[in-house]
Amino acid sequence: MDELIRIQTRAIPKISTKNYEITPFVKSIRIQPPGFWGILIWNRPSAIAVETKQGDQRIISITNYTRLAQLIILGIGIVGSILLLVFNRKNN
Amino acid sequence: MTEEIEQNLPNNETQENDPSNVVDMLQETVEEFLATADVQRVYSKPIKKGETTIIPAAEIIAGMGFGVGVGSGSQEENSDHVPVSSGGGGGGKSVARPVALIIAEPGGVRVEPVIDSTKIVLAALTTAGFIVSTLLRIKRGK
Repeated sequence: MDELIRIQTRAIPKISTKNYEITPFVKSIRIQPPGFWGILIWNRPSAIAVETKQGDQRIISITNYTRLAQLIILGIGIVGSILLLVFNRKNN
Repeated sequence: MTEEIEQNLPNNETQENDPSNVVDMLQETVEEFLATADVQRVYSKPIKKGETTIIPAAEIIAGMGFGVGVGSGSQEENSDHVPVSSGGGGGGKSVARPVALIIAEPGGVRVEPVIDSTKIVLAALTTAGFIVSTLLRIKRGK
């Protein structure tokens, strides 16, 4: 039976440049409610593994700064509104 | 020629009303849709310029839903015919948004974020509206 939510991190085929071999990773979230003919897929880049010709390896994560900024701003809004309501009740 | 058409018509009607054909068609649509949201599409083809290689990376959000139904009516008077009908519908959307650029140069590999200022401004305006509405509610309550 299919899972409701499936989260996977997958490596996709290496990309070779003159000096490096880059292995990109994708984080995939797949939501498929059982008994419902529908699906939601969210694929996003999560990191890259960089390997030099000498064999040195390092991993660079990929951050979605737009989403991060959106979440921080909306979080400030929610927390700010709650604090306003709490202080208002205390003053009354 | 006319005979051929007349002979073929009942078959075509039967095929169109066959729910299994609708399911097959939907399955085909789902497969095509899933191909647009394939993990391979997150990273685009590398763009090479001199010794620099740029790989654009994007997030892909895709969603779809659909349904099919078959129903039968009541038997008509003086007839053995029971009307049966089937139908289906669905919708979906796929969105891709650039997240970062991977730049490979002789000096090293770096990831440059792609920032969507419009989305950030919209989030800020929504938040401001939320806070203002809370303040107005507090003032009205006093």
